[in-house]
Amino acid sequence: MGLENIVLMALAIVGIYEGTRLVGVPLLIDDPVGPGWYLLFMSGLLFICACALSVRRARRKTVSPSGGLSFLKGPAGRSFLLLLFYGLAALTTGYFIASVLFFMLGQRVFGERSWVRAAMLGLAMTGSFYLVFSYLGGVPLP
Amino acid sequence: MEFGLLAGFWKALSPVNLWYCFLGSLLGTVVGVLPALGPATTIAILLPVTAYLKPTESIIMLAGIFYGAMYGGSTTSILMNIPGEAASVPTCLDGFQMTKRGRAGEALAIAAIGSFIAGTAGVLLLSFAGPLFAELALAFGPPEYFGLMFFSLTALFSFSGHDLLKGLTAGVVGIILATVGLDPLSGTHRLAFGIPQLLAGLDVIPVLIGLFGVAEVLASAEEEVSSVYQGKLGRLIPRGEELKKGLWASLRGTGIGLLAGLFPGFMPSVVTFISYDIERRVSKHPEKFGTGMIEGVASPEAANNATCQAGFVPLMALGVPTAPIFAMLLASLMIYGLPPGPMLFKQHGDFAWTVVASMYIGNVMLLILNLPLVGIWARLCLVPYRILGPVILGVVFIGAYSIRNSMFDVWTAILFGLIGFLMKRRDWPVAPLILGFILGPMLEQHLRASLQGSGGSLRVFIEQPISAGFIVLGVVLVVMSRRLWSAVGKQEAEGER
Repeated sequence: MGLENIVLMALAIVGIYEGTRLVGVPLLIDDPVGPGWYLLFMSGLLFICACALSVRRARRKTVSPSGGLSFLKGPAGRSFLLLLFYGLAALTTGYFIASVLFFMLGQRVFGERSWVRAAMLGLAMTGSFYLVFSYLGGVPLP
Repeated sequence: MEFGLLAGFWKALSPVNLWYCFLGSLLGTVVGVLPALGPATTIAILLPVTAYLKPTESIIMLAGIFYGAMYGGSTTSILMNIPGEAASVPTCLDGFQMTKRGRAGEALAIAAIGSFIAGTAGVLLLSFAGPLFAELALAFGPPEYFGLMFFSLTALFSFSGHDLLKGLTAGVVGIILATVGLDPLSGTHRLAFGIPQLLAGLDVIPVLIGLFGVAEVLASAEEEVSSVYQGKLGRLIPRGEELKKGLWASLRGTGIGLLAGLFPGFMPSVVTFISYDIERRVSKHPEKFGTGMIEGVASPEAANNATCQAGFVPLMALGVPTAPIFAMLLASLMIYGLPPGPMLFKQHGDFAWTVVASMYIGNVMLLILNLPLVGIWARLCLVPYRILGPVILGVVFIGAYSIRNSMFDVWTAILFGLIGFLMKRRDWPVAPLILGFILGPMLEQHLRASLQGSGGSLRVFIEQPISAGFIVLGVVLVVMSRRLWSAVGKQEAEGER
């Protein structure tokens, strides 16, 4: 069973559990469907689809086009980890410092070779963003 | 009425008003072009700018901003595969592929031309047939809307490509994810597990920009692309057969959008998917959709604009906003003490017709402004990715954060970016997930409202002819989709032999 089948089955089981829980919840209004039956139906449908995918996979003995989380070692993985870093840095150091670091490191991840150029462009990008969004646009930033 | 419209044009065409319209279009386009900022956000940002002007000038400038924002959103969909709103998702499917083939100019130009055609038709509709269609719109109740949503959901089979099972699965996942949060009818929480941020549910914008924008950047990082497109850009304006195909697709999209947009509940996000689906079905080469077909850009763009235009009918005639962008416009009209509704044309006819005329002028202004700029926008795809990639991610960050001033939405965008990237790697279609996410809540809402009204009887969907018609049509389309993709698969297999 592939990774995605496991994830889908897990989501379906969680949905079935939650839907079953909600079916029994008393309501103040007359609602034949309520908050539970719709979720239960869709989760059941997802479970059936996940089973069908598993069966099909077993019959065809197919291999996933690209295995698991191996991408984390490559540039895509570095970009993703950089995004996580950006979010955490914004929470701790604020938008400005986090953005300077992010834009600088982001250019390096995408192929910029010069640290000086990356730093200068990073500062310029951060300044531009701050000017356009925060100062002119009034968009609140973290 | 004709005299009212002429008087509206007379008032709107003064040099000062034309200037404000141009300024609004320019501002709307510049801000709307920024990735992850959709038309509704763009209008929200620029609305205060209009507050310092007189009501007529404000509304005219707002009309320019409206069109500029709509077109700006299309630009990022085509150039960067980042939809600014759900309605722009179908445009991404073929628009970005055209960009990758050096045809960004043609895609942008046909989007502008198609939007202009739709806008023109929409203003005419609003002027001459608005009140009649407003009456028809009142015939739609919850069972009819449920039938419509069911019919719309069948489009996910069309967006599934060859693998209908994966498409259905992705669609159902989208529907389930849309249930996260508080149930609007009963107030009970679903799939929140005590996490406060999940009580408000997942917002559609971070999900969209994650699945498309972030995922695309991650995919580009993996492929180590140096820019979205390398080499000489193709022609900037479509010609000959391509122009003809684009124009016909625009007309079809316009028709679908105008008809659908009259009804509250036919949101642009639903209509653009339907128009893309129909365009694919009527095409001689449905298998080529998603690889850079000009019809795949023209039809949803025209449908989007036409729906928005037609949406002015219920807005002005009934005071009912059919999409978030209309809620913004409703707010602005009310700021000036002019609540839309049945009495607007009777009590404030001169202002109302000036609004209608200004919409048309904004539409023309859009074409005049953006066709010459197509070359400049198209060159964005030549910017080195080491600069463009971080910029896109930076704007995604701001776009996600600005929705609710919450880092939760940023994390949502990042998570869905990962999901979208993995889906791409494993050949899963993304569009059905979005479709399920958007339509799921509406499907549930109308299902429950219908059954509440019928006392729990499912016969209500069969007894109402419009509802039954939509459901039957949906089933027929599912069968046709299966046969269509089977036939395409056979053709491809024969071609390989």
